[in-house]
Amino acid sequence: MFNYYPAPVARLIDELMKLPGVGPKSAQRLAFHLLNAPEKDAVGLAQSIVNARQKIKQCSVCANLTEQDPCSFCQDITRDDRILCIVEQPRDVIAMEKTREFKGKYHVLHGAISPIDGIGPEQLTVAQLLSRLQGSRVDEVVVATNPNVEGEATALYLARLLKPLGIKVTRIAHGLPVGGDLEYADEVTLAKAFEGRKEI
Amino acid sequence: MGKLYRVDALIIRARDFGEADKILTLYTKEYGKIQAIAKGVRKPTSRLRGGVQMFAHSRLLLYRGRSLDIVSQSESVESYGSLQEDLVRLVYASYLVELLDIAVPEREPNENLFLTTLLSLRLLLGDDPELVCRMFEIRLLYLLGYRPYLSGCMICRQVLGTGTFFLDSKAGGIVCAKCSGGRVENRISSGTIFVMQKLLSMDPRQIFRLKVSPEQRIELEKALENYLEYHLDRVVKAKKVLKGLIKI
Repeated sequence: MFNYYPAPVARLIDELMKLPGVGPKSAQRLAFHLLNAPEKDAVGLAQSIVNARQKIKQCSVCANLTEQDPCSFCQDITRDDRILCIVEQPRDVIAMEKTREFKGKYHVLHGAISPIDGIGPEQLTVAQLLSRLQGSRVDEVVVATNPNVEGEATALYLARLLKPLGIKVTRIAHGLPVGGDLEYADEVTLAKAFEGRKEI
Repeated sequence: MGKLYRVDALIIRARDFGEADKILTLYTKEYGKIQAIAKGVRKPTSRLRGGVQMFAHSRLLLYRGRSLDIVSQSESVESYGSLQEDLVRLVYASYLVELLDIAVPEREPNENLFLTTLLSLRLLLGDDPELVCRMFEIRLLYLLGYRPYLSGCMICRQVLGTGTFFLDSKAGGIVCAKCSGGRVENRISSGTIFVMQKLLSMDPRQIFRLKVSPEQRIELEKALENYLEYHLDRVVKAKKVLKGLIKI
């Protein structure tokens, strides 16, 4: 096919198309926007991508994404190191932090067990978790994976794996969302919410 | 048919899409396997969310979209929620729906298969999920027209007795030791063949009464696995995870 774009532009469009949710038309629009923008903006974007890629790595303790290793959560001595919260993704750490409820440490699995996609425990940071727990002071592990099939499978797996080590394994509660409507809650959620009722 | 239509559906696959959407693969009673998009269902306040979880049997109102149909209302009939309380059953259920997904083409209704799948999921909650899977496999083959011939040797017509047979995927049935030409794989004893016949003909709710020895289970699993792989030409990914998990 004849290429209408000069080679560097075509390449830029190709690269942009690899981004999630960006099709050929959006990629073209973004490419021309970058070409028309002041040079420092475009170069700034390029440099920050390179920068982020090179400086960010997985923490050797908790597998969260970090600039320094171990990450700031793992180094923070004011955090309780007897309680560990296990999440699927680095962005879940941020979500948990926003609650300001949890003062322990984290572990990021980078995914969840998904039999349909052929993802088993080997593809997650489970081995790293186990070696970290050996000889640590952790006495409770809170499994905060997503409340869907993959997250539940992961939680059950971790419970089976960690309980023999004498560690208390807990699961975050399932219940009704704040501002939700009882009528539209599915029976599983409602049943779980009922099960986990609290005295007021 | 207008733009909106109603289906009785089982959610057999849900993939994240975009910011908060999911693309669902549905196995419906009315139209067979279809894909639909459920918008916003990863947000906690979504009204659709309950009825579009994996393994849920739901009544959905779909809107014919340009490429994908859009879920506009959902009401769950049965969610099989207790599947999520046991890891092994959960993985068996994943295996079952993945197999279904692989085996059926899009928009080819098969009400019997729909009902068999629902029943199998319900039976998975019982005592013997492994046997339920075997029953589902063999019934799936039957309902899709791949049922293996099990009444005797396909070549010399030797009837079932005490001897050993081999399940020949290519021929589509069992052959006796003499006609097998010295093969060793997919050995299957007469007893196991009898179990297969029973799994096909029995009332599914009664299958737990069948006495199946550990050796027969191994034979059954291997033979059906090879047979399915040959006819579907795909490897079921959940099987690998299943094997890994059962060991621990």
